[in-house]
Order: sequence, then structure tokens, then C-alpha cells
Amino acid sequence: MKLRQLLFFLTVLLIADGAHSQQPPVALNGVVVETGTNRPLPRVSLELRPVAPAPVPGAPPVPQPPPSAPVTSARYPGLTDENGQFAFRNIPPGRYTLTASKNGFVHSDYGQRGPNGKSMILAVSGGGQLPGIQLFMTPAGAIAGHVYDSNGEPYPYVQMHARRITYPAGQRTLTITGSTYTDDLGAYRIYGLPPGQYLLSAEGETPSQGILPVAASLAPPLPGAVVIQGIGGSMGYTADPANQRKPANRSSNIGNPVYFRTANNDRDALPIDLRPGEDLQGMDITFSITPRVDVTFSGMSNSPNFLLTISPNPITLRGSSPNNMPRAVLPVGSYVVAATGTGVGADASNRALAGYVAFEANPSNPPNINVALNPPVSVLGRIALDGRQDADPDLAKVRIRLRRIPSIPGIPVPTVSTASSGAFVAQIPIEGDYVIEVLELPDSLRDRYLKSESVIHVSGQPLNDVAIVLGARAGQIEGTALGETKVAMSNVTVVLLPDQRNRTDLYKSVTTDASGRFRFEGIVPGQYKLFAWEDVEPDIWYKPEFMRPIEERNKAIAIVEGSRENIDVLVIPLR
Amino acid sequence: MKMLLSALFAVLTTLAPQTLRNSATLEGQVMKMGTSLSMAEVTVELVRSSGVPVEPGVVQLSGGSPSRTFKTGTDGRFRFSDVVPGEYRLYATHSNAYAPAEYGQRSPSGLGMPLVLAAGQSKTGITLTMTQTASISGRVTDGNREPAAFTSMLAFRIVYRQGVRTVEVVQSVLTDDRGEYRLFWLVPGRYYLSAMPIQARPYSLPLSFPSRVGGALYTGTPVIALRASDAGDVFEETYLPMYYPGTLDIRSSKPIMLRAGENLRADFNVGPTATRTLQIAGTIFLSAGQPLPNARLELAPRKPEGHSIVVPTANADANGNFSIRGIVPGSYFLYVTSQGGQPFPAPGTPPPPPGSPEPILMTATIPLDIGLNAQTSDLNNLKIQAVTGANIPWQITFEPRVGSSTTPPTFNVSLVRDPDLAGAPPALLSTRNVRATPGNQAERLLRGVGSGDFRVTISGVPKTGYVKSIRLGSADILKDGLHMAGPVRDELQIVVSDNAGQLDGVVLDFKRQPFSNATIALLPEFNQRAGRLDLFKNSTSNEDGKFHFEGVAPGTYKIFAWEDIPPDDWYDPEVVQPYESQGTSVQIEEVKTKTIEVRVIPTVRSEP
Repeated sequence: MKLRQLLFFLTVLLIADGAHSQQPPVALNGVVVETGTNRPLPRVSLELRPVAPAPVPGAPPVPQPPPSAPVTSARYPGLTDENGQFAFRNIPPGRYTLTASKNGFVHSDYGQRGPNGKSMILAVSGGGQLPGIQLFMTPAGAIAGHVYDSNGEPYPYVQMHARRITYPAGQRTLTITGSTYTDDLGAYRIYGLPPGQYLLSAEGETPSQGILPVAASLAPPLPGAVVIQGIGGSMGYTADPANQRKPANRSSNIGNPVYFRTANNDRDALPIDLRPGEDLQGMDITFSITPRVDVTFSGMSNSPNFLLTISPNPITLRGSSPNNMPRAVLPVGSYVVAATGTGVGADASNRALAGYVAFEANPSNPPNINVALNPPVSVLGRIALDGRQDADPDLAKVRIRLRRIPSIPGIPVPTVSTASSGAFVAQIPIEGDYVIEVLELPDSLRDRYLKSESVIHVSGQPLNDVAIVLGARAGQIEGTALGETKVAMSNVTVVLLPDQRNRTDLYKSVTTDASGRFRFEGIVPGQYKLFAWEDVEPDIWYKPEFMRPIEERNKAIAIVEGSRENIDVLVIPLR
Repeated sequence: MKMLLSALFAVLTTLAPQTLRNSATLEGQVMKMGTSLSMAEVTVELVRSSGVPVEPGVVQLSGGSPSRTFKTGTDGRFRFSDVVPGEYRLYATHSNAYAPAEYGQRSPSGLGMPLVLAAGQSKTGITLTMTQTASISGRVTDGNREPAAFTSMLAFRIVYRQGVRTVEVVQSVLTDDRGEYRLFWLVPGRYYLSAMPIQARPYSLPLSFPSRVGGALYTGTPVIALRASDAGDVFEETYLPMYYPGTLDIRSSKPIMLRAGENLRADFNVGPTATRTLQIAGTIFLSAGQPLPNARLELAPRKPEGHSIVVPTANADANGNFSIRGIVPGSYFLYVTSQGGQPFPAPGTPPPPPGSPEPILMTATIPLDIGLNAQTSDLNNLKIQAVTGANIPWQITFEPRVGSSTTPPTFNVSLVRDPDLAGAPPALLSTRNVRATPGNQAERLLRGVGSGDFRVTISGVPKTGYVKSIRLGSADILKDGLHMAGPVRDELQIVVSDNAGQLDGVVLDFKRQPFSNATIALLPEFNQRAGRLDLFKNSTSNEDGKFHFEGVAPGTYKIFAWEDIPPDDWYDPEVVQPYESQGTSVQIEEVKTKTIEVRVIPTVRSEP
């Protein structure tokens, strides 16, 4: 037998055994309801899982079990009845997470108010009657349709992706949430999707390793089960001799997406708003393979070895000059290539070199891209403390970062430590505008904030006198998040947004505590607005279209040096 | 690359005039099955074959061998000219909506035969017939009639591989959130179907292209899940495959005959697939009573029948204690292996340098019934004694061909388990059983052979030879197998003879015309078949209906020639039984060549 393919996989789900208490076991009751409607949900699978005790400051870290540790049973399966009720009997007191899962719903943890909420630890103490627990589950949605070729014929075996646009630290980022492939009729269905906005794309033939379903709504094999060991084994494969050459065709057509409906890049894609439980049919795409261009690269002769990063959809290539110059076969489109290396020769010996070029991949004129690697530009400066003439020894503990706007994937972001005099030297890899961000402040300077200009422009010439001033007293805001009936709401998201919305370094977000209180510290003086949501997609507040309809709800707050504001905020309800 | 191209060019230039004069031509047409319609956009591929079958019907294509393709137009015609004479395979592939077609094929799922092109020959009028693939779709529900999502749906074939009944998964997909699935690109033919709740199998499975033979073989550890009883007790369960039309017993499963272009609907309820599991626990110790740490335990089903081989495993701890979980009631072999108490090296660890001391190998094979005969509880406190494996020396006597004085070839002797169960550890743990070299008796040793049943295999037997006898003391190992239960004092005495018989034959149809691409199986006499799989031989008739067997051990055989039969099915007595009267008996003697005419067994063309 010819072994054409041997896959080996072994996944053992390990359980950290929680600290067992000697207190008598208790019973735990609760109900699972649908978010918004409060309809009780039957046959929901529950898993109660011990977590390590809360870390005690100064105590040694809790040892983690080795990967080979045996599977233990310190997990408790549960299942809701026809009325959505569940009960765990004989639970040792301790700290637990409680997760609910059901086909057609997004996983939900104890404490979550909606699909985006933070999960909370469930503290089970011995003795007395425990109050009932409530879990909320949001129905998952689906996007379905057909993919056709340019002749209107079904296009089978095309991989389909549903991507969320996320804004980590304010940077627009695409994240694949769900994937599938079209069947022989060109039909697809991506299901188990949490509500939100999606970009849908068709992306060439399905990779040979297959595609995973949406993890956020993966339910156990049959309701009521908790899988503690799964998916282990190997697969030997024999194939039809007539097909033995076919796999070579498989991989070549990946990575040139067509976005719903007809866009060839994500910026022009038509976003799809998927409401909870919505089953969107007829989301059809006409797909064709984008022509590809063979792109060659040159230059970089002053670095024996170098790394190229081609974006968007970053590809990294290693090369060495002059004998191993990389090439890439790219779909037609616009690209940026960034190069980094380590220099040789008199002027560049052992220095980190970098460069970048924007280019078009055009089949009529396959490009040769010449990337020049240049040594970094030195930026010298000093951090001073406003209102003080002397240097503080704790200035040595300050760390700042110089982040280029726009950023270029593959180009390192310099972080800088300062001397106790406050002096610093930064090596800036490429020219451009850089935002100064304060990453770390020692406790003694904790109330300090970046008072001076936050953007510097770096051209080809070294800068010798960048002055950074840390103001004496940053502002603080504290308050309570209030629901519709003015009741304090715990575990909701409160966000502080600067009026200068492009200053992503000034955004702050927290979750309210058990009594609905929140507190922001280290606020740079300026105009701000405060918002709170019962359940909100993380970082979505960086998106102007999301904020525009609610912008006028709340008044601006003026923060000056040393402000101590006490402001309550109304929580925007889930629906 | 550039150098290679110019070298190739030079060869072509030198050979070109001669090649053109002696080249062959091939012409034909691609048709859609059951119609008089020609097929356009078909890729016809002519591939040079090495002629050496790696398994029945499957020919190893020589790597990088000359392959030429032709894309058909609307008339479906293809033509290859200036073909270097030789043996070829001719394939036709279209989109995956069609099964691959091959020259000589007798059914959509059948395999073709080699095409021999002689110098100057012009072969015309070849027809390749393409068949539409089929699909199976349906809806899967759980015990509460709710949609069962993430359920693994498999279309599989039951085949015989080296005489072992094996399940080959042809296609697998997952149900969606509505419990809907669609298995597609299936070549028409006979399939079995199963549903299994996910996390039992890797849930990211690649789709397979339409395939007339082959598929995936799964072996793995069981899924273990926890569930609470109504009383609140937590127990462990696993999931069994549900076979069409709704049975947990694969033997009661109903096969499906899929016709070309058909979409069959099949719904499932996977509620009953959850089953409680048992566990066994115990200690492994040495004869002196001290515990043996780090042994590996594998519990392989004695009669694996399902669509995947589930083997619960465990490693003993430093005190020799073990517990194996996730066991479904049944009959098993428990295999215990140890490298002298040392932990097994992680996969990918380089082998120890030559000359380093070899750990003492210990293996044991223990038959074990678990959860049978109304016994429903776990097995605890098993005491397993590990015994050092035996080292068995072997000796081969070679009988050269009558009238010649050939030097004896280099032989190697090895062991396979009998039965050779999937999931069982290798019969020989040591990797140091190196090839025998003349005069090197030290290496003619089977090392660390533990308890259990084995068959002795010998490589290096000439094509015209056969294994005449294998004896260990008074035991006939060739006939009865090797049964190990303790130390061995004797030497394995093997006789290999280069005087095997031969068989030349022709397959004829009912008009006594030569019948090409028949599948021919040469089986030992009925009462010998079970124990002597090594005597089974098979071949296919060529374009003139002729076939040839060599290296046939003397004895009485029965020969069958089928128009179309799945590869290796003749290992199944139930498949062969109805044809027993249509076989031809033949007596093979040493050295001699027997000539025979065999009547083809036609395929019964009836739909179930």
C-alpha cells in the first residue's frame, strides 16, 4: 500500500486540578436563558471547572501540571431541563468557571451579559443556601449562499471565510471567525457566528488540511457531555492513481480573496451585519482566480541575510544577497514590502538596517522591486519632570515606545529605556511620523502623564534634542455605571474616549466591579467623553461609524491637571 | 534546472530521428457514460508505467516519468503521436463532477490496465467513458430530535488489505448547525455510511477527490466525555458510529449502491451512539516482584470491525501502576511493551549511536474480555508480570534452481503479529534486526520476541522461488504460525527453494475469445486458505487475455478470473464462496510450468 499522507494529531485536554477544600460539598442551581428574551433554554450543556485559587501577592506561583499529566475528573458536567434549569450536586467549595454551550448559540460563561462580555469566577463557599445562578446565551447566526464562476456555474471546493473587523489598540485588523468550503453545488454555510459585522470572502481552493468550524459555538458531541480527551489518532491514506498528480493543483490558488459582493480588497467589501440568530441566505459571490504576478526583489546588498515582509496578508521571505534573492508569486494588487537586515561594511557594520517600498503587482509588467536598506536614524532626547529641576533616579524605570503612523508590517517598533538622568537614545528604522507612547511608569511617578507634544517627525537627519515632559498630576475619573432604573450594573464596559479620536494612546476602558463602580487614572488633560455598554464588541469604539449615532448622548468632560471627577454613566443596554 | 534542461535537449536531439521512425500513435474519444455524447474539456493523460504493481491494480508510476496530456475539444477526440514505444497507463479526468476514467476499465469504480505500444504501432478507436459522481445528503438529529451539529459523516468501503477486512473512508464531512450534511464526489459503486458525534474524529478533514480505490484508515485513542446521571453521579462515556440505516453493528449495516449522478438521501439519529465506558487498572511487575515502570499499554480490539480502530492506551507510572480508560465492552488483546523500564523516546528522537547497549525488551500479549458476560464493572488490580523477550536465532538453507549454481541471495527474517491488528505495537521492538550477511551469525537473530502469536516473513526470496519450510524444533511454523509463551531454545530452520512452479494462462469469455483486464486470483485449496495468506497470488489479464504467475509453491490451487471485482476481495471467504464452482483447480509442481485456460466470471448486472 502506498502511504500518501500521514497525519498525526493528538490533543489531550488537561485539567488543572483545583484546590480541594475540606468543607462539605454544596449544591448549585441555576437557569440558562436567551439574551434579550429571557426565554429558558432546554438541553444546554454546562461545564463547571475548578480554577486555581486567586494568587496571593508574594506567594510562589502555583505549579502547572506537566503536559503529560493524566486526565482527571475534576470537572462537572451539567444539562438544563425543559425549563432551562440546571443543578450541580456535591460540589466542593472553591472557585470555578461555568460555561454553557448549545448548538445554535454562542458559548457563554458565568458573568457574561452578552457574547462580548467578560467571564467571571464563580466563588462557591460552603454552608447556607446559594442564590440561583443565571446564564445568558446569545443565538448564533449563519451566512449562507452559493459561489459561481464567471460563467454562472457552481464553483465547488472554494474556501470561504467570515472575518470580523477588530480594532486592537485602534488598529483596524481583520480576524477570521468562521470558515467553510463550497460543496459540489457551489453551496456554503458558515454557522455558529456571534452577532456582529462581517466581511465575507471566497479565497480559492480549499487547503488540503481542511477547515475548522467556528470555535465560539462548538457544542459537545451530545448535550450534557464534557469532553476530557478527544481527537487523537492517525490516518493513513491511499489514493486513486489517476488522481495522484492532482494535489499539486490544490495549493496554488489560495490567498486571492473576492469579497462580498464583488470587491477584490477588504476596504471595498460590503460589510454584512449579522443580528443574533439571523440566518442570512443568498449571500452569493462570483469568484474567479486572480491572475498572479511573479515579483522579484533586488537591492539589500549591504546585508548578507535579510527578511522581507510583504503586506497586506503578510508573507515573510528570507533571503541572502547576492545568491538567494527571494521572489514571490502574488495576486494582482497593491503591496508594501518591508526589509530588515544586519549591515556589513564600514558605514553599516552590525547595524540594524531597514527599508520599504510600495509597489503594484501588474501582470503586463512583472516588477523587480529594488529595496534599499538604510541604517537607522538616531533620536536623542531627555525626559523631564514638569515642576522639578532635578533628575529623578526612578526615570531609569520609565519605558517609552515610538510607534510609526502608519505602521508598516515587518518594521520593528522601537522601545526605549531612559537613563536616570532622563536621557534616552532611540534608533528609528525608517523615516516618518512617530507617536511617543509612555509604556511603563514606576510607582513613584504613577500620576505622571505625557504633557509634551506626542508626535515627532523623523527625516533622514538625526534629532538631538527631543524634549519629553511628564506632567505632575494626571486626571482621574471615578463613578458608577447605572442601568435604566438607575441601578448600579456590575461587569459592564466603561470607555473613556478623547475628543481627539486619532490619539489612540489616550483611549481607556475598564469593567465595573461587583458594585458597579469604575475608576480611570492617568488621564492626560483634555476633553473626553464617557460611555458604558452592557455588552459591546471589544475596541469597536475606535470605529467612527459605530460611535456616530450615539456620539451626542453624553456630554464632554474637561480634564485638567489634577482633576478628580466623580461622574456616573448611563449604560447603553444590550438591545 | 538549466543544466538539466540542456542535458535533456541533447538527448532528444540525438534520439529524435530514430524516435520518429519507431514511434507509436494513439487515438481515441472520450464519451459520457450511457450516452452517445462526446466529452469536451477532458484532460487525457498518457503516463509511462514502470509495470510493477505495488498492490492489485495499482501501478507505481515511475517518478518524473514522461507524461503527456491532451485536452479534448467538443468532439471529445484525443491523439498522441510520436509516442516512445512502451507500457503506459491512459487516464481521463474532468472536473470532480466526473470519476476518473482509465483505459481498460470494466466499471466506473474499476481500475484499468496497461496499454502496450509497440514500435511503429498506430492504435486507434480507443474509447474512454466518463461517469458522473454521486452524492449522499441528509439530516442528523440527536436523542431529542434536535439537529446534531458537528457530526462526522463518513462514506466508506469495506475492503480486504493483505487479507484483513478493512474499512477505508472515502469521503468525510461534518453536519452543519441544522444537522444537514452532503457527501459528494463519490464514484458510483457500493458504499457504507456512518454518523458519529464529533470530537471522535479529527473534525478538520480534507475533502477527497473522486477516487475509484483507496481512502483513509483511522486508528486512534478513544474520545472520553463526562456525563452526570440523574442522581448526580459523574460517569465517562464515548461514542460509537451509527451505521446506515440506523444500527450500531457494522455487520447489520446496509450497503448503498450509488448510481451515476444520483443524490441519495439518508437521515440519521445519533442519540444512541453514546455509551458508558469502563476502565482497567493494575500494576506491572518483574518476576522478582519489583514494579516495572514506564511500560506502554495498548488495548486493541480482537475483532476490529468499525470504521475506525479505537485503541485505548496508557503509560505505567514510575511504580508500574496504570489505568486505561475509555474502554467499550468487548474482547481485546492487551499489549504491554517496555524498554527495560526506560521511558520510550519521544517521536523524532534520533536513534542511539551504534554500539550502545540495547535496553532489555519486554512484550506481552494478553487476551482480555472486558465488560462481557454480564460483567459491567471496571477491572481493577490487574497484576501483569513482564517477561524478557526471547532472542531467536535463525538459519536459512537455500536450494538453488535445478541445474544452476546461483549464489544464495541475502535474506532477512522478520515477524508480524497474527492477526496483525491495527493499533498493536510492532512484533519486533528492536530496530537492530539488520540484514543477514554471509558468515555473520550474530545478526541472524530475532531480538526481544515477547509472548503472542506471530507469522514469520522472509524477504529476499527470488521471484522464481518460494518458502519451502519453516520449523522450530518439531513445530511446523509455516503451517501453524509461531506461538510464543516463554523462552525458546531451538533455532528457526528455514528452507527457501528457487524451484517454484509457474503458471501460464489465458482468460476466455463464453465465446472462447480472449478476455482482457480480468482480475485473476490464485488461491490455495479451500481448507488451507485461512492459514496461508502468503500463498495467495493475483494478476490481471493483458490485452490478449494472457496472464503469468511465477514463484508458486507446489500444491493444489484454485484459480478464479473475474470480469470485475474489488481488489483483495478474494481474501473474504464469503465473497469467494458463491464462485467456488466457477474456479478451476490446478496442481503446481516444482520447477514445472503449467498451462491453463480459465473461463471469465461475468459481473452480475443487477441493481439491488
